[in-house]
Amino acid sequence: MKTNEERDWSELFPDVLNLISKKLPDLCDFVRFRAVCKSWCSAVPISDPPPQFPWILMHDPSPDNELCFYSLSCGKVHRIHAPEARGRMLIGPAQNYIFAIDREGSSPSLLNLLTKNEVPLPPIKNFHGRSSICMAPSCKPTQEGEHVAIWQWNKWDSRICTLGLWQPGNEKWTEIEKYSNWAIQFYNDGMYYVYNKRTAETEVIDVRAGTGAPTILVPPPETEFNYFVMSEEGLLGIHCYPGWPCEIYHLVQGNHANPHWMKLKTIGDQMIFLSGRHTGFCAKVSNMNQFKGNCVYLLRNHRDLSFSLDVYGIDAGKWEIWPISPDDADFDRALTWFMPKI
Amino acid sequence: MARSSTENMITLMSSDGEEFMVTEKVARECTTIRNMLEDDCVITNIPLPNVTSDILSMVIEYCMEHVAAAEKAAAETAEKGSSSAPAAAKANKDLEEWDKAFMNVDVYTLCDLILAANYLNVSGLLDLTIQTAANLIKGKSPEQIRKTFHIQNDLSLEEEEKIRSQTPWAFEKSE
Repeated sequence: MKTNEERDWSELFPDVLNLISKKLPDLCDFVRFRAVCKSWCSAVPISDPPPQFPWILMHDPSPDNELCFYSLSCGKVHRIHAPEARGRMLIGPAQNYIFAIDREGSSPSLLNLLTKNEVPLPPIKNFHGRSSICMAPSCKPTQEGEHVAIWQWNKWDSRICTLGLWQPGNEKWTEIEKYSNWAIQFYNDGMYYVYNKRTAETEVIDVRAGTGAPTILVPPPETEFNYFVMSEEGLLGIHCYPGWPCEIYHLVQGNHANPHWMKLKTIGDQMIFLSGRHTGFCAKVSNMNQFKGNCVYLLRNHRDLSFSLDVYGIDAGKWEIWPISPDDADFDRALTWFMPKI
Repeated sequence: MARSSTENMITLMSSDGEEFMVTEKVARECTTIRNMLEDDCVITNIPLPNVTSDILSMVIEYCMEHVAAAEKAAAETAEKGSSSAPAAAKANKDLEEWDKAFMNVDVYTLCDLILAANYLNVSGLLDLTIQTAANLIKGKSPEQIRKTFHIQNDLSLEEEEKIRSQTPWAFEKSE
């Protein structure tokens, strides 16, 4: 018979410790797990955290340079000291890197708020406020051959939108200007998608051609889109207004022969995260029993300065309000989704 | 529980020499044993040198409960042609409650159960036990985790500092 002293949690097999660490859905718990003892630390590489449910970035930095993130998986607010974000506007939704810019529109950069890595970007022409600019949520300024992509609408003429592309080492943005009526736009992996709200056609532009001319023109879908996200299957066009059925279409490009939008009945175990902008991201959250897949999570700021998280179950075809505990009532604004990655 | 006399019985022997007679169906819940039975179908006596009798009896208790629940669900489906959703939901909930009560153990027993579930490859029990361990970790500081699991901090000051400096925000207070 073994005695209690012989059974030692620090001597569990690395693969078992790994399994336990994968059941810690909040990144803070994962990081603290690694700080317990040598064997727990070495069994679980920091580069391999469990799949994360995105955090909600609550607002721009407070006067004491704190950023507040609400973690739905643990129901807590993480406060992160971020002097590098002082006095700046943060623009998401973001994975890894968030877009930061001074209020006057100077000194744009990409910030990794968790590793404190900052990548300065060239100045942006005609910047006119947070609401006019978007960034491709998957931007990573370090990956070889990948562009950082932002796009904005023109201040004076809503028919004009501009895509800016940048790679580390470049001194300025490569710009592609498009004329279309308050377009919904998206960029991913060399392809620029522009949905013209007036004609309802979608231009697919291969930016490597450098001309801005559409490579493919996709005929109108059966509904109007107000969001684009990238999923495992490819680009999704989304019609999402709280209270109404959410419709999701998948861009089928085929061999350029017959491009069209195909309505999806399910997105499997993927989840779509949207905030009050025209873009969002998709994440796969298997093994997270608390959160359901095949759902759209929409973050909304209301006119009375409160915010809510509305969840649309694609199976059930119903909207539900996600309960956010009353302790957090002092957080009246939710800025955007932030996918924590180290 | 009534059993048909034709059902194969298997004897499992713990590290301290105690013998446990179980039906083949219950034994097959352990993938490790299922593989042994498939390699050699006449085997009836299996020594388990890594599992003590007190832990083995708990593993068997878990397997019996889950086999019984699955049999009950299958019988109901066969009787009514299809399973009724509310009844199935209730049965699931009952089993969850049972699991929860089953996990009311001290951390040493939990550690042994994880090792046994891993060795015998009982996926449901492994999942249940590691989830229980994870729940004990959530929201705690490293020091509180060590206290919960009776772990000595063997990290040097430099190592600890290095881990903290990678992600200082994770060690600041959350609320």
